[in-house]
Amino acid sequence: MIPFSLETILYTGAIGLVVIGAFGLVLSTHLLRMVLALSVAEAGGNVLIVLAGYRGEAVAPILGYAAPGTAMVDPVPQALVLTAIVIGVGVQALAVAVLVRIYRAYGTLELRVLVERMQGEISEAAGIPRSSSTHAPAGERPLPPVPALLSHQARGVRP
Amino acid sequence: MTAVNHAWAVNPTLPIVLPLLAAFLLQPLARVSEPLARILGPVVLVACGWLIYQLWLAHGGEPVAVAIGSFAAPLGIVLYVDRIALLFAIAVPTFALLFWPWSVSGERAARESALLLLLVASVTGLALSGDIFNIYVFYELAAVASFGLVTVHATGRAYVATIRYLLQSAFGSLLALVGIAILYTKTGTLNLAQLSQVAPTTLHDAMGLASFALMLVGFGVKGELFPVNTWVPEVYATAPARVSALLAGRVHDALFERLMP
Repeated sequence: MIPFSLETILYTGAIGLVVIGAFGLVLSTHLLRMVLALSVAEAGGNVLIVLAGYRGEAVAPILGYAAPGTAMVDPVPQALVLTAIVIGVGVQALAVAVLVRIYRAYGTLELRVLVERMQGEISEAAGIPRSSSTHAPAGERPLPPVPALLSHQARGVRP
Repeated sequence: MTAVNHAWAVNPTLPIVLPLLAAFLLQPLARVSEPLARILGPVVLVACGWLIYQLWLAHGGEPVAVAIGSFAAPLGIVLYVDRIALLFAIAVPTFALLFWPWSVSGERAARESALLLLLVASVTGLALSGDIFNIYVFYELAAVASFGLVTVHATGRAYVATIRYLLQSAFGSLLALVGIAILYTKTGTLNLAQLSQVAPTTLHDAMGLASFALMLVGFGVKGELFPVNTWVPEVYATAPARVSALLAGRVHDALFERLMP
């Protein structure tokens, strides 16, 4: 039986959040979900920075809060994490603003559909029929099934 | 490499602060007088170039650390000015001038100029910074400015490229941040000069290597995956190169000096 200290659990949680965010970024096919995954990963990163200065027995680094000479938590990472949180929120706000523009331009945030519509737009601009790209192999090109997309098609809903 | 504040003829924060100030002044100024707003950007960039040239003359490229707000190195933030930093710092306004959007007009000109000035400010800061967390902050600032510049054409495709770039870059800088957190846990300092001193002893293990790898990947994402921009890649390419140079010059070298016999 491995004894789990509080710090081990916290570190595992922080790194776990980053990993969950990374998987979400890679595996999701919806742009909004990717932005959400990014914010999960950023939360993990921020927890990791706070943990960099954390000591179990120490008190908050506030002047006059504890008796002089008491061990304090390192205040530098807390100042850093404040900056990191603000930067993260700013970047996410920018991402959502860009998502709104993408939705207005293409009417979807689903990646597969989005790529299809973009390619359609490109072929239209080039003046060739939509499915006649010279780069496409002859015949059908099967795509791996995407559950969300399949259920949309099965229900006859335009994704 | 002294942390003493020398009697500077030119304050090295000026080439960072001036374009930043101009970037935020530009939009209101464009409402008042458009011709004035059009010349403000180039004037500021030329002034920055001149200031950096003066810095070079004043010190002959000898490396100097300058504490901002007269807080010394372990707690305060320093600017580290040496020959290669000045070279990058002078390249940034020069390239920005070369790629200045002379031909666009109206409100879009003000917007583009402001973003470009923001980029110049942040990349100059990146070049001159001597603190690894400050590098992260300037790097994010440069990233946000370049996101804006990528969307300048305002087509659907530009937005899709921006979001792809934004997600990759944001995750990359998150990795860099995790690397910085590990670095701080291990060494207790963020100052590059101090890091290079303590790195051989404290970072000579798997954790140090992991933090370096995370930062390299994180900061490297941006250099490799630039998508659709048509007229800033050169300005922009200086940023990751400089970060890599800073990292390689300080942390990496120190690591390898230790790893080699």
